[in-house]
Amino acid sequence: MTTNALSDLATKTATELGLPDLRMVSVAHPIGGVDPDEIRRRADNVVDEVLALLTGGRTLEGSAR
Amino acid sequence: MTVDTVSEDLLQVDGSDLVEALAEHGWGDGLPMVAPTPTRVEAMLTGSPGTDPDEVVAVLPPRFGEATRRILAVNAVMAGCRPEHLPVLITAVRALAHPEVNLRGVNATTHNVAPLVVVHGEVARSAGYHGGRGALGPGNRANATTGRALRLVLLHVAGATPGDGDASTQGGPAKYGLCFAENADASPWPIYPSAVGVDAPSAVTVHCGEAPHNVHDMESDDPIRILDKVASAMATTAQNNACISQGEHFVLLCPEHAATCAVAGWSRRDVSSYLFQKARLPATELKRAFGLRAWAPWMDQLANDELVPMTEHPDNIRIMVVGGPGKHSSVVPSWGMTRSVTLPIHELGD
Repeated sequence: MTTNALSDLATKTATELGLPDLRMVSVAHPIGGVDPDEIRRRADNVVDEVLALLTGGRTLEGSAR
Repeated sequence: MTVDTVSEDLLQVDGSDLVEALAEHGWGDGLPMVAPTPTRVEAMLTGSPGTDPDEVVAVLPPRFGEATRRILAVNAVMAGCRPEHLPVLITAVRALAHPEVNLRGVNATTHNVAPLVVVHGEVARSAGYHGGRGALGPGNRANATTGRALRLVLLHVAGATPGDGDASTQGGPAKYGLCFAENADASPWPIYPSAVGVDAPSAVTVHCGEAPHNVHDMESDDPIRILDKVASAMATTAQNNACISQGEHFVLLCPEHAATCAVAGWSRRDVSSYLFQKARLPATELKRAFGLRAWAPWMDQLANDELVPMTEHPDNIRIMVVGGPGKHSSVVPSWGMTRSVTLPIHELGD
């Protein structure tokens, strides 16, 4: 999991660790200081994507993003 | 960056042209650099005689770049170092690679953390490092270029480029470089490495922290009033050490403040113990400020009307003497999830 503002950093780190296709899901930045209900909404919005990654082995686009 | 990737054409340019040429590769810190010609790099390597220039001395995250002595020499040339500065740079890089530093976190965090490099002992004198008046500022080549070379290594080898390798929200001036000598001649206490179990003629300390916070006391003739002000600078909710109890505070006492403490019979340990006792905030204030806390368990059990120390142990308050005449000291809080490292220098060929 990452946020969209830090996804470049996450992707680069994964790539340098030899995992260029690491399955990642990005949520809207920031998550600090955000109302818990809004956090739950953001989590709900990516549940399908997380399930697809866990069961399909790839991101919805076929690579890390 | 490897030497092989620096084309011969690139090595023929210098000055402002080199800045432009390197910027095209995404290299450099934005300031003019010296071209790392093979002749200059070989000359730089004479600063670490009898060693293998192609030995990997550290692997640096987040890019996990391999730092050989030659690669470090390339960056030292670019920063403007002299060969006698190379052993300090190599040792600082070795220190940053220690796992307790958590360099991946240091480089990747949104915090403005940057390595502070302190040079101790004989090499400080022989290689021209400055620990006296204005030591944390400009004007000394050894300080300025070694600090800068370390940043170039973090940019080029570690891949700590702002954006995809360094997520710092605002960055900070210390990210250009912060290196100075301990002012052992003006210190009333044994040299700092001896306080952390390092017995060597020359040593380097790295501490990943914020930019220095000033402590001003022009009038006190006793340790209490001076150190209460130091404690005030330490006890703020606006720093990571307030919510992470393993964090270190480096307290850079000026010679006059240190002398006032020593004349009163206070040892370095007395100073850190007093600051541990006095640099505290009410539990209720800290709990109101932070919903997420990484405190030692005993700290979390303190009642709301009790005072909580800003770090979990007096040993986390690191005391050393830096600076010249005048009565200004500094506190450098850490990033929090990092530990300082002091290493002997074994690169001097002696």
